[in-house]
Amino acid sequence: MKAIIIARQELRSIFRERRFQAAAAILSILFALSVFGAWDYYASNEKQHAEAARTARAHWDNQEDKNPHSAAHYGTFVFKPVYPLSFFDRGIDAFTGNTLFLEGHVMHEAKHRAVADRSELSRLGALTPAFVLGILFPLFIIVLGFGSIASERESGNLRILLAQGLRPADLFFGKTLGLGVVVLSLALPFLLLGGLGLAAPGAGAEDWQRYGLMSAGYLIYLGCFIHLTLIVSAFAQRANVALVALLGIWIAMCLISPKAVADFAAWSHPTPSWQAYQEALQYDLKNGVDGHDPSAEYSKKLEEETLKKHGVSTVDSLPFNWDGFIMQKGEEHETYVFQKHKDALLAIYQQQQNLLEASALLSPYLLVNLSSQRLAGTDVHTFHNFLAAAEKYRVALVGELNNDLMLNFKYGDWDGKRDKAFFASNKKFEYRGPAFREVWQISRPAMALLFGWYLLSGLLGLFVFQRIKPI
Amino acid sequence: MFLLQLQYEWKHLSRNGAAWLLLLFLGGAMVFGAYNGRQRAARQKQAVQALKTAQDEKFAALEAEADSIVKGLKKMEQWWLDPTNPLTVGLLRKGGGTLVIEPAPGQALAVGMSDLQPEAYAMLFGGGAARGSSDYDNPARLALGAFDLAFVIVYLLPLFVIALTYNLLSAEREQGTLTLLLSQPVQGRRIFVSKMLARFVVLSLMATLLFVPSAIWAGIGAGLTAQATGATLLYGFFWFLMALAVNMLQQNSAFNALACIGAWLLLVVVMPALVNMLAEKVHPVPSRAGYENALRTADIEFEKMKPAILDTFYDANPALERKPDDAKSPRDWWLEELYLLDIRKAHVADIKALYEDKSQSHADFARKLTVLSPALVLHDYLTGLAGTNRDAQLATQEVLESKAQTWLDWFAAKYAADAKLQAADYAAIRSMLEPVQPKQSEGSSNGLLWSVIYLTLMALPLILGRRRQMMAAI
Repeated sequence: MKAIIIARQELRSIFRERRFQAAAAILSILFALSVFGAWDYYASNEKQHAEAARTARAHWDNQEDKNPHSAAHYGTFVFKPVYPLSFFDRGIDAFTGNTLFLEGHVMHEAKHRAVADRSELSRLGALTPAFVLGILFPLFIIVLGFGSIASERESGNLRILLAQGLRPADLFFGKTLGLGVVVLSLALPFLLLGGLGLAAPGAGAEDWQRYGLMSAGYLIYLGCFIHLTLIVSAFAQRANVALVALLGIWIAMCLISPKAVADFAAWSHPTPSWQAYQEALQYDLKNGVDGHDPSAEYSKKLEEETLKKHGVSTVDSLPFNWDGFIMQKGEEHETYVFQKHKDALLAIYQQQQNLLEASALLSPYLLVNLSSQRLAGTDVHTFHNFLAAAEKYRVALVGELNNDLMLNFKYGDWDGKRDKAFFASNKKFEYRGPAFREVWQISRPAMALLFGWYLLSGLLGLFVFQRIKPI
Repeated sequence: MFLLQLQYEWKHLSRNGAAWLLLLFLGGAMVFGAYNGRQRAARQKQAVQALKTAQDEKFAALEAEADSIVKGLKKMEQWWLDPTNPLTVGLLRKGGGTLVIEPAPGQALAVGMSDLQPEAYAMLFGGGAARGSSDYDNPARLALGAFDLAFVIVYLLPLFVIALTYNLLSAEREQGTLTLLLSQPVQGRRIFVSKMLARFVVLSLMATLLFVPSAIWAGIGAGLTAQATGATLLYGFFWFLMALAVNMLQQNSAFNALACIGAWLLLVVVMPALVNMLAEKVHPVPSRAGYENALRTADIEFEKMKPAILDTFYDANPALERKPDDAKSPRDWWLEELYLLDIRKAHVADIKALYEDKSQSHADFARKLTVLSPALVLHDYLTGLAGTNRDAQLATQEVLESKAQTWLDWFAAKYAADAKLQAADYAAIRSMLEPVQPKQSEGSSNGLLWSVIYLTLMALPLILGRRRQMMAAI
């Protein structure tokens, strides 16, 4: 009950201050601007990518008559999907290629990173809803709350309050509640406005689930900052000192630690250079079946085994087209090698990611950033989910072409051709991003850590308040 | 008087625990930024060296093999593996040359776009292909941006200046030392000016002593370090004047702190984000998703135009016999393709230009908006100085493309003449593979101009303020 009185008093004093009005107005304008800047991000990108996907398929379907293996080299393009929530948090979207060329024998890297079409200024960040909520909103809390206890102490109110028998815990809960209501009075309209940006392109039920979790994540994150602000304010002798200390904490948590930890992770778990990666890849590729080079050692061995198995002496006596068979065997080996190296690379990313999560102790911003990107579908995991699906499709499509070559063409018949009807009947790339359940599963650790941060900072707050000095 | 103040300011700051803490923090950040720069440079050097070694080994092996073939010691059945065949060596898939790009000298100062720039450019029949380790970098790290010296200067240095200036005058009043100061037999204005100057001299010394060794350790040359130090001090001076202007408002220290931090937040954190948002709105850059399709559509059109274009080829080369497709030898086919290459390039030039123009308008507009904040002006200046901005990247790209054209023409001419590559040719090939020095973007005077404008704006309250106001401020 006493906590509610404290909360009410805190609310009244904050709402009355010009500082609140000014800060709230600025933050609201910035949030509105961020939504204005981002609302068509999804719609416009989605439209372009869907159009590109249709055109690429039309190119495949309507290609000139050609041998199935020539078609495998002609290849096709698939495009990184755009997710509705990317308007809210762009995450790594601009830093991953959006076009992937699929052809026989090779697993290509995704090309065309959006950032490459922009200037170096774009590296300084963009005004998105996630930026306002993750970076700027905590400052709003600091500006409103730095004097919450320190000013009461300076004015002598704290002494009176405690002398009247107010329990420190009530003081803490009251102040938390007061600041919490102020934060909600702004954050909830923001999140609702963000919801409009999601409703506009007609998001599905899963997107709303993701958005709900994302919103919860941001609210918990802001809760952490309420606790931190109160702790520092209770600790500091003067409001001035509290403000400077809190600003220092904010800078360390939101500006410095993400970059510093990412750099540290990169030096602790370095990714290979282009040359090193390619050399390792080429080494493994050479030590296997080469569909285009029948003289290669492994191809020769496979030939001997196959001939023996079928009881014939030459490849043209086999009951199938040896060319198609060897192509597919080569493809299988190449796919295995490419995937092996890709997996090793992903393992390095994962180690870097683990370090990032482990350093959550330093900053809840890292956690909210991570979970927000995951839920928005703009994180590394979602991107690699797409790459894996594209690779699976490549293997299936090339397999379909090799199979046709093996069963329906004679050995050595490289001039035999397939027409449009055949190509139009080839497998289509149908990809939907990871399901909500999967996303939730991988977001859980970061979300749990974030909640842990909230609880621990709350407990620390209680502890500090128990030892609060009235003067 | 000034020396006395200087001595006082030095003593005052050197006995202030918080000031030492801030200095330690800024120093730590600079050392970490410099360390990152060193690491990046070392990694890139290693990557570039690996590319060079691989290339040297490849051409040495090809040359030796070509020599054996020319001397009749070895036979090569497959033309696509023949090291005396210009097409195989110069342009086909497993052949081709690689132009290695040396790292920009100032990369450790400002990473800019250098973490996305390839380390090499492969020259192949189908055009150039970038060879970059950034293909394998964790995109999450690229998205978070680099912790480089530019970050420390642009983002953190103002905080250091603000923290040691926001209460320069207000604290004297709050602590009651002001009366003592004014009771001295000296003019208030003189006290004010020399106090200000003394504080700035001390701050500049601190910043310089931290920055210069860090920059040198990071491997940035003395010239670049000197220029960057100059820019850093100008930038620091802007924030110093800004904090003084806030002090002139005669409010308490808490107000001053909030106002200074508000200005920092607006100019350093919000403005860049806002500028990027505006640039995106006013000059949207289309997603490149449509790009490869557009190229393919153009290619399909080109295939239809091909017979007519080849008419001109055969008209110009009456010695060559035009054969039906199924009777063409690989050589017939490649001679046609080599002829078609430039025409094909011209055919898709519009598509490339369309995307590049949009991207350029976006970048130009964003650059114009840098005038909205000194932080952006400085960032622009530092990346320009470091040779890691977009302009430098485009300039390097231009060099690469022209070298690639020379390469292509050389091999095409050899192939057309049906020449066999020999040892002397390999020497010529090597000379075309000299590493490319990164281009610096042309320096712009914009940065300096805007620095002067900003400094004047910030100094206005001090210049225009009447004596009485100054006295009141103290």
